[in-house]
Order: sequence, then C-alpha cells, then structure tokens
Amino acid sequence: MSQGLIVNKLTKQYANGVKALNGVGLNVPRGLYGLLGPNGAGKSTLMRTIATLQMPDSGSIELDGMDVLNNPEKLRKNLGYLPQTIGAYPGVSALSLMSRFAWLKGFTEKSARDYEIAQILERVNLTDAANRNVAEYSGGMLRRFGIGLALIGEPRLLIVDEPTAGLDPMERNRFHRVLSDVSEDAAVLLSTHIVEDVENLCDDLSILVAGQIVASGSPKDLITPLDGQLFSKVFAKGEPVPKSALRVLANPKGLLVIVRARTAPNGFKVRSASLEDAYHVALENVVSVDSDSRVT
Amino acid sequence: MTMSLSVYWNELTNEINAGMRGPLFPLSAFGLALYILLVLSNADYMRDMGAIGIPRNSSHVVYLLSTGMSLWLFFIWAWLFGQVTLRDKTAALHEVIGCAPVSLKGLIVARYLGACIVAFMLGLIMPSAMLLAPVLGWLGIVPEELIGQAPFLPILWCALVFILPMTLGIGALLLSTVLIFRSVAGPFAVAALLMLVWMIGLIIFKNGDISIFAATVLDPTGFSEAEFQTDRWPPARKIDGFLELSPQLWINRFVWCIIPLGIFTITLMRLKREHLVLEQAAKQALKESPAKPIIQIENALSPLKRPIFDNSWLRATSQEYFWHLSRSLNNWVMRLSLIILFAIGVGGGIFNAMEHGEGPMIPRAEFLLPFMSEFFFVFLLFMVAGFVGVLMRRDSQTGFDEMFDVTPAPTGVLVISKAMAAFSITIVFVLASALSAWVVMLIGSPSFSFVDPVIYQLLVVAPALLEVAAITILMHAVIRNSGAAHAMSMMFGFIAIVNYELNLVSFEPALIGIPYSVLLSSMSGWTPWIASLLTVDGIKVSFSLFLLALAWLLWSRGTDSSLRARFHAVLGRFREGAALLAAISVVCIAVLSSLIVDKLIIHGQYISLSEELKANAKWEKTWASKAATYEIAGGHVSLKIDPISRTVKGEWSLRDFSAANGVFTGSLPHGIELVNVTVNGEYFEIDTAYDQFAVSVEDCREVACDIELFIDGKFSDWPTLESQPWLHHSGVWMRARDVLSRLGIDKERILTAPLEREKYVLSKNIPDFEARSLSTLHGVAPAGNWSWEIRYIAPGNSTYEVGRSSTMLDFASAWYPNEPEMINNGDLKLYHHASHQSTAMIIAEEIRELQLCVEDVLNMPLPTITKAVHVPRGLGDIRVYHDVFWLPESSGWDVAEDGFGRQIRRQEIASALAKSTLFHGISINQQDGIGWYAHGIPLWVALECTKKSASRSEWIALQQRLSDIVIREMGAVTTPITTLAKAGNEKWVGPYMALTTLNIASQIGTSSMQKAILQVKENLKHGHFLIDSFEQSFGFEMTNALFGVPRASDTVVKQSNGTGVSITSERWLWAENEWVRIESGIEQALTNHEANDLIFDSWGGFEKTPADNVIQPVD
Repeated sequence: MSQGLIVNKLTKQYANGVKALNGVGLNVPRGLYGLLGPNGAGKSTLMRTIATLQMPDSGSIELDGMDVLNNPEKLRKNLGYLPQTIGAYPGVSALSLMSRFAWLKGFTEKSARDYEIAQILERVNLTDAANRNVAEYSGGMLRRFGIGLALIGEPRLLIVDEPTAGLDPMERNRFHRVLSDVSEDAAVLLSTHIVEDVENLCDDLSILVAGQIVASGSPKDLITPLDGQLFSKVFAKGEPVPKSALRVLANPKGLLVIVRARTAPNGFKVRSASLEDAYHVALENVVSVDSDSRVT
Repeated sequence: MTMSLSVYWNELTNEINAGMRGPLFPLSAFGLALYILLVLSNADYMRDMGAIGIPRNSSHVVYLLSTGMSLWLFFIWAWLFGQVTLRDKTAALHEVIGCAPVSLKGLIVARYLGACIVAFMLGLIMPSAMLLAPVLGWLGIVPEELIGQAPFLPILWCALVFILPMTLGIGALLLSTVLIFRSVAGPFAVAALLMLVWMIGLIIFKNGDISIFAATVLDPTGFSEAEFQTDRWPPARKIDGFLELSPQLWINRFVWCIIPLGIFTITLMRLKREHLVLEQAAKQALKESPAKPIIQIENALSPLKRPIFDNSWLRATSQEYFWHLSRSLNNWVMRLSLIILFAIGVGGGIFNAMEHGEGPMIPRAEFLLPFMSEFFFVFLLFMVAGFVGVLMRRDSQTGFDEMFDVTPAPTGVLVISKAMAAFSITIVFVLASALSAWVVMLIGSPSFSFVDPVIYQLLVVAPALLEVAAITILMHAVIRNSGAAHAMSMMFGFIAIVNYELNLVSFEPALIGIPYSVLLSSMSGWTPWIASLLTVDGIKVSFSLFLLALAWLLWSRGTDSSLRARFHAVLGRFREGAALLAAISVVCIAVLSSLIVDKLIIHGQYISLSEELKANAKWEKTWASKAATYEIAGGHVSLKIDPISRTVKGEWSLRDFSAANGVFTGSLPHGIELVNVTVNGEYFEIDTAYDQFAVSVEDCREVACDIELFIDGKFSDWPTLESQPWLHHSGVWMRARDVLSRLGIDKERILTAPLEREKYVLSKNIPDFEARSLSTLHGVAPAGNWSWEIRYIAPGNSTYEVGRSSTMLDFASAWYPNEPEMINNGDLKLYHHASHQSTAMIIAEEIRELQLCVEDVLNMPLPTITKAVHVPRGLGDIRVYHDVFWLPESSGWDVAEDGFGRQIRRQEIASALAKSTLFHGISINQQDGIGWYAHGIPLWVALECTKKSASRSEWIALQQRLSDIVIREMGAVTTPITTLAKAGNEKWVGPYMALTTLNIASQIGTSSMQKAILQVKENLKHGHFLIDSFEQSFGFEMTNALFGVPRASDTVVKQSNGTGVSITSERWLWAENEWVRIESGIEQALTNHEANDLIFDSWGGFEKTPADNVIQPVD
C-alpha cells in the first residue's frame, strides 16, 4: 500500500467555465511538501478538493492507499486543514472553540479532550491566552490558533493554505517551527506563493500554474539545472530594461534585472540560482508555451 | 463639484446594484407574486367578497396586503440597510473608503437613497403583484367576472401614502442604528422593536377596543388605519375606494417618517470617519488572561493519543447542542429580548385587562392565555425566525466554516445539534410568555393557575413555533446566501400569518406555524381538548422533524454547490439516518392526520366553506320542493345520556302531527342518528340526505297522526374551531337542538348570493317558503304542550330531570361530574365554577334586577327562571332556554365588577330575558322581518334598561357600539342586501333594528311601543305575519321605514350661547352595496328640549354617531 497523499489527474472546471485544475498530479510523502503558484493558479481549489470541500470533475485522490473521493469521511478523520484566511469568531473564547473542534473530531471523552487541547495549546504557545476571546487575537495568534485547531487528533495529512501571509517575522518563524514539528509524523501540504517559506521548510515541492503542475521535485532538483544560466545587472532608473528579463527587482540604485541565457550578456554577472529563480523560470516556460501555442 | 456629484451618483447606483444583485430580490418577487395569486384564488375571505360581486383585486385588498406585509419588509430592510456600511467592512475596504476624499455624510446619504430605492421596490412587489390577477381569470381558476380592472390608482396611492414614507422613515431609522452600533444586530433590534410597537397598537389598542387613534399612531405599517377604514367601507366602496388621509394617519406618517429622518440627520451630523473605521471595543477585551493553564494536564484522566470515533457521535451531538444553546442564551441580545418579552407581556396583559374597550376584564387563565398567545405570536414568530437564523449562521465565519466542514463529525451531528438548540430557544421564548401570564394573574385575577400557562404555551403555542424554527433551519441549510435565507425564513413567517388571517387554509390542523385553537374553560378544563391538541402537536412536531430531515439531507457542506456534489451528499446522508428520520416523520404525519381527519371531519363537525356551500346547494335541490306547512299539538321527549361513553338514546313522541304535503321532515343535529320512526305505531321508512330526513306520511295530510322518533347518538369526535363538545365526561351542557331534530325546513341553508347560485346550478329565484313550513326560529318544534325527561347515567352520579312547557320546544340541561358551586338568589339557583364566585354573585343579582326592568319595559309577564348555569365557552350566546338561564363563558364572565364591559353583559342578559318573554307561548318561524321581533326589540329593551340604570354616557356608548357593529357588519356582508324584511338573521340586523326602534320609540313614546309590541305578539300567536301585524299598528310609512331599504342618518346637535341649539342631519339609503347619501345639511327645528335629551332624525333609520346627538346642559 502506498503511503502519503497521491493525487492523480485531477480536473475541476467551475460553472463559469474557468478550468481551475487541469490534470493535476501530486505525490506527497510524509514531511513538508510545498505547493507554489501565482495567484489564481488553482492552489486553493486543489487544497479544497483534497480537503473534501469540493468534488473534482475527474481524477483520483488517495491517502495511504485509501480512496478519498469515495470515502471523504475517512479522510476527515485523518485530516487537519487550515484555510487561507480565518476570521475572528465573535464572542467565543479560544478554549471553548477548540473544545468544540475537539469533540467534532471525535474527542468526546472529556479527559482525552482536555489532554489533547492542553498539549496543542502548549504546542502553539497559546496556553496563557486560551481564555481570551478569539476575536481579540492578533493576526499571528489567530494563525497559531488555526493551526492548533487543524492539529487536533494528530492528523496524518495537514493542509495549510498560505499560512504565513501577513505575519511578522517572529510569528512566521514560530509558525514554521510548528509545521516542521508536525511534519515528522504527517504529510504536510503547504500551499503558498512565498517561495522562501518552501525553500526553508520543504523537502519537495510542485509548482502549479493555470491548473497544471509545471515543475516538481526537491528545491535542489529545480535549482541545479539553472546553474550558470542566470545573470544579473543593476540598471539605473530610467534606463531601458531588456525585454527578455526573467525577473526585475527593485534595488536601491535602480532595478536589478535577472536574465536567463547560455552566455553572459553584456555587463551582466553570473548569479547563483535560487528557488525563486526556478519558480520564475517555470512560470516563464508556461507563458512562452502559451504564447507559442497561440502563435501556432 | 461635478466630480463629487458623480461620486455620489455612483455610490447611489452601486447601492441599488448591490441590493438588486443576488437572490434576494428575484426570490422575494417570485415568492410573493406566487403567493398573492394563491391568496386571490383560494382564500375564504376572497370567496366571501366574490359572493356579492367584489372583485378579488379590489382596492381594499391592495391596502390591506400592502400594509400587512410591512412586518416582513422591516426584517428584510434591516439586512438591506445594514449593508450600507457593513458591506465595506466585510470586504475589508472600510478603511479605504473611510479615507477617500469625499464627504462621508454625502457618501452615506447617497447610499441611503440607493438602499431606499431597493427597499421601495421590495415594498412595491406585493401591491404590484395584484396586477397579475387577470392571469387567474385566463387560467379559469377564478371566474373572470371576479377580476376587476387593474387597480393602478390604489397601488399608486398605496405607494405614496404607505410604502414611500415607510421606506424613507424606517430606512432612516435602520441606517441610524447601523451607524451607531456598526453591526447588523442594531437594525434587526429596531425591526423587532417596530414589530413590538405594532403589536401593542394592534392587539392591545385596536383589538382591545381601547383607542383606534393610539393604534393608528403606534402602527409603523399603517395596517391598523387601513383595516379600520376599509372595515367600515360598504362593499361597493371596497372595489375602488381611496383611503382617507385621516388626522391620525397624518400623525402616523409624521411619527414614522419625519421623526426618523430627524434622528438620521442628527446621527449623520455626529458621525465621524473613525467611528466607522475603528473596530468595536470587545466586551471582554480587558479581561486578563489567567496566569495558569486552563486545562490541568495532570488532571486529565486516561489521556488518549487518538480520538474515539465509534459510538461517540451521540455524545458529540449533545456537546454541540449544549454549546450552541449556551451561546444563544448567554448573549445580551437574547437576554434583552426575553426581558422585553416578559415586561411587555406583563404590561400588555394588565393594560389589556384594565383598559379593554369592552372591559375591564378579569385576567383569569382562560381569558388571559389566548390574549397572550395572540399578542405575542407575531413577535415570537419573527424572533424565532431571527434567532434561529443567527444560530444557523453562527459558524459562517471566514475560514471557520470550511474547518467545521472538514471535521470528521457526520453531518447529522452538525444539523441535529443546531436544530435541538433552535428548538430549545424556541421553547425558552414560549415559556417567557408563561412567566408573564403568572405575574398578570397574580396581580389582577382572583384565581391563579400555575399549570395552565405552562400547558397552554407548551401544547398550544410551542408546536407552531417549532414549525417556524424548522422552516428557518431548512432555509439556512439550503440557501447559501445568508441574506436570501433570512428573507425566505421571514417570508414564510409572514405567509403563515396571512394564511391564518385570510383563511387561505381553513382546516386548522393543516395551518403551518399557527397555534391550534382551544377554547379553554374553567368549567370543562383541558379534558375535551387534550386528545386533539396532542394529535395536532404530534403532526406539528413530526412536520418539524420532517423539515429537519430535509435540512439534514440538503445541508450545504463544503464549498461545492454544484448539483452533482449535492446529490452525492444527499446519498451519503441517506445512510446517516436522514432518510429514516424523514420516513418516520412522514409515517407519523400520515397516521396522526388520518386520526385528525377521522375525528374532525368524518366523525366531527369540520367542513370547509366550499364543501358546505356544495352540500347546501344539494340540500336545496333535494329538499326545497318538499317543504309544506305542518302543525303539531305537542309531545314528550325522553332522553338517556351517558356522559362517560358519550352516548345518547332517546324517544320523541309527537302528538297530532299533520303536514299539507304528507311529508314529515326535519334536520338532524351533528352526531345524532334517526334510527326508527313510527306513525300511529307502525314503522316507516326514513329518507336521509344532507342532514335532513323525511318520512312519507300520506295518512297525516288530512288527519293528524302520532309520530314517534327513536334517536341514537354516539360521539367520538373532537371539537373543532370555536366549538366545545356539549357531551363529554368532563360535563354535559345540552340544549334541545343538540339532540333533537329541528322540524321543518331550515331556510338559513339556502344560498342567496347570485354568483353562488349560478356556480352550483341553482335557479336564479330564491325559493319562497311558506312560513309555517320552516323550522322555528328558536328551539326544535313549534309551540305546543311539550314535556321532557332526561336521565344522566354515570357511575355514582346519575341524575334525573323533568320539564314541561307550552311554548316552542327549547330546553337546556346540565350535568357535572362533580357538584359545582351554587348561589341561591331568591328563586334562582346559579351553578358556577368555584373560581368565579364573585362574578356569579353579581350575575345572579343582575338577572334578578333586569327581570324587573324587562318586565317593566315590555309590560309583559316574564316566564319563570329557576336555574342559571355557567357554561363553557363556545356553547352559544347568553340565552334563556325555558326555565334555564344559559350563561356561556365569554365577555360576560370575564368582565370586572365595574365598567363598560359590565353594561354590555347587562345588555346581553336583558336582551335574553326580553327574547324569552317575546317568544313565550308563540311559535316564530323564519319569516320576513323576523329580525326586528327576534333581535331588534330585545336589544332595544336592553337599551331601555341601560337608560334606566346606567349613566347617560354609558347608554350612548352602548348605542355607539351597536352603530359600529352595523357599519362594520354591513361592510362585510356576503349576501346582497335588499330590504330589512328580507335580511333574515344577519349580524347587523339586530343592532340596526334596535337603534331604529329606539328612534321610533322616541317619536311615539315607550308606552305606544309597548302596546304595539304586545299587539304584534298577539297577532303572531294567531298565525299572522309579522310585517302585516306591524303595519296594523304603525301604518305604512313606519313599516316602510323599518322594513324597507336600510336607512342611516347622522344628526349633529350644535349649541352656541347666542343662537341656541341647531340641528343638522345627513341621510343615506343603501343601494348597490353601499350607502348613498340622499340629503345633507338638513336643518331641523327643535321645539321643546331638555338638557341631556337625545335627538334623532324623524326620517327613521339608524343613527351613525349618537354621541353628537345630545343636548348638553347649559351652565
């Protein structure tokens, strides 16, 4: 029996004609797995589909060999899910809300529930704030609370959708540590467009663009092919930027332009590739394929 | 400047677009239009109108429906106006908008106007839907002649007078609260308060006859004024009449439009940008976090690393239930609502009892509880829909909703726990009213009942509200958009109320969301009602569970709303148990409904209006031709009654019967079967159809025969609306007509409305019967030498009664399982319930006192009355049956010792005594003009007695009450009015005749009236017709004035120091379904007058406003 999450040829088209998933395939083993993609790439659709919140048009999803689409309730017993944003649940303390999630996840015995909640509160560092109203939590506390809710019941699959957006560096770090701990026992699918998070945390990743996986592998697998192919140069403000630029970044002296080429263009220096560069190369490939196909 | 104007214009149009987007508007428009068509095609009220040719889309319907729907609108508008500022917040754009370089006040005003336009269009849906009425004609659902011209002008008038001011005013009020509270809770609280104010106006001030002025001013919807005016319109005016802008309506519009706009202006002036941008301070923000961990890990026993999924969902359901319940109850809005509910209940209960227009009343349980139910029902209905809606949407918080959806808990856990919490808060609301009732009883009633309010609220009110809660649950389960779900829940609540008001569904157990009616009586208690009530409750609870099962099946879980996903989900929930719950509910509904049908329809007295009309038409076709004059000398009745098994056996022997056509016929009361008939000792065949029987007795044409009837009755029915079983183990209150057949033909069954006659293929000409072929007006058989014996057979409580009379056969008798209290007042014994001791003593004294008065006014000896009985509600009116004074519980037993209510009771007692005197020793059949003798004179006698014993103002107030009844009832007639002679026993005839007789008596003198009445009675005794007899005494002119076309006059007496007294009159004649003014400004001369004299127009007819006919004493 295969272990971890296997997604195969998943497609999903919305009623308005938008094809959000177009034959997506993923193999997510135990550990942290990154899912990168620009806004509108279909990440949230994929997350929701895996989390049984919506049905795909076709394809299959398996968790540890179990057919998820035909047994959504079985997946839910092993699932932790933190959506992209969670609001402030008004008038309820964190402890009360966490207790509620606990019994909805099967912890109906009070002693077991209390034990679980106490452990999780410690883990997400909210023990002292447990009696506070959730609506009073700061953004970071709310995210930690959210992951705490997702962790109830030691899920075998944890899906977190853009979890660190808007967090300050300290909170972000704290959050990463929690995810890292969890990934020792479970498959953690981390969807984000913050490439640095994936680079720091994940052994493997996929890049989703326009409903398709355009690249998969470890960060190193994606970076290595670019060695010696990336060059950069700082352009003064007002100076024309080459159209073939892979990335154009703001720089105190003007604009830092990165290009991909076999040999260094005039004035450019060789640059060591990062995962972010690999991500942009993957995006560029899709755009150029799209342009080509349009031309033909 | 141009740029800013365009910004505001854009804001206005954006607000309109936002309001119109989404399912709210199309759903409301479609739902209401469909509903209006249903009302126009089905409601009994509409059928009644049609009987006299009033089109179904007539103007008064436009006014009533348009204003009546406003309560629903308020809740929709609360959401709509709430979005004016909250929409930005939801989209997290409030800070961006807040710092925009435009005037904040201008921005809010532009959006307010945009929201007003949407609100106005929502308000227009209902009246505009009336324009669809022709569709019913084209489809053949309603006869085309009952569809009038499109009521454009009434709709326009309605829009101008009601909808537009209401939109501006109430919208301003709602938006002001949004700006102050920055939450949608504010406008919803205002909507609830508006409803409360409306209820106080309508239920207390209007229905309690306390003050129409106050009711109109307090009513934010304008419904009270619309109803008050249209109720008084004659039928013809109802077609295309315009509501008058009465002073109270102007004040009302000022209160509910101009003042709210002022509040809105002040709120805007004080509004600052930071007010909308800053977060609302959390109530618990300053609460310190505990220093120690909340959960002591070391105390957690048996720590388990994994959750337990098997067999634990029941516990999770209960945990969820308690969590939701505690969240709902531990909430300041809920607590405030309960406190307001309780306080208003106590205040309203006491105020209604003390200030009731026909009171003051004693708030005993049987009077108080139906009032509380009516008073609170609309409020409770919308509160339940609102709070249950909030509960259902509690988890709809960004992100949390998805997290709840992916928990492994089965959908049933989520649905059932919320539903149980919803049902529980419904019960909490219901019991708050019981608490109010206890306090009111403690303060104002001589008797206190702890149990009755609880039983009433739980068994009568709660099941209906559970249905409302279940509908709300279903709406929120099915509809994703919270605004639309909320609107639909409120709309169903509104439809439930209108169904009830318009009798759209006339079979009461089938009414959804409306409490089942019970006539609670201290004499009979709950016993007669408990079986039917529990069965109806069972249906309502089963229906609620069925809706819950549907909600379970259709529950929206996850983000996928495609049909495929929903179908998949439904399949999964079938297995969870939703289908089982639905199946069990349906089986319960089917079983209990069949029981109800058996008890109420097959064995009971329930019949729908259309069925009744159909049966009456068939009855006429079968029996009208068999009417013939008959005579009878008297006879003997022998009855054996077993209250425990609810059975009757009887033999009725008739002596010297003869019929001109050789047919012996009569009508059978409910539940009684004519087993055998013997004529001169020989058995004869009985022909029975449509509750009428006939026996061919050819031998009795020329020679009188002796006939014996053998009757049998077994009652296994349950009481229907507004009735009480006369035979029950909790007591027997029997009148002759309950058990014996009424001989002759019952003219009241003839259909008189031309359209109905046409519909049921009856001849255009209404059959004209010989008076002596008809049933007697009272009792069951004409005057003769009658005797009766009644045996009650009950273990340990068998009794025996005998009686004898020489008048129409009309006796009454009572049996009690336990001996009731008894008061001896001279020769009169009054039997009553122990809780009514003080009232019984007063009534006994009143009977004695009024006997003397009636005897004096009529100058006739009164028949002897030996017994008076306290009778449960729903068993007729105050009457005298031979020697028994019949005192059903009604306002007569509910009124306090002093006040106008007591004068009304005295009027009823005097009227009953006068009737018994007028009917004594003669036979009165349903003949032309009988309304004057049977109802008019008794009421006139009662007025004369009031004049002698009460103050002048009370006497005039009683006349005004009768005048109001005439105007109202003539506006609601279902049979075209031609002349008084042909008016039969319509409700308006008695009061009309009493007031007209008062007028005539003032002209000819009371003693002349006495002599004339005596003469008429003598003539009737000798078989003469009433109108002929009257003409002999009063002449043609007076006869024509009294029995011809209805007349009305309004005389006004004005006094001034310089010119003395001036009198002017206006006169109306009834023609083509309305009062037609024939003369106005007639000045009349007054020769001799004294202070306090009441001046009448000598033309005759009834006086519309007696209060301004009095000559005031000069200081």
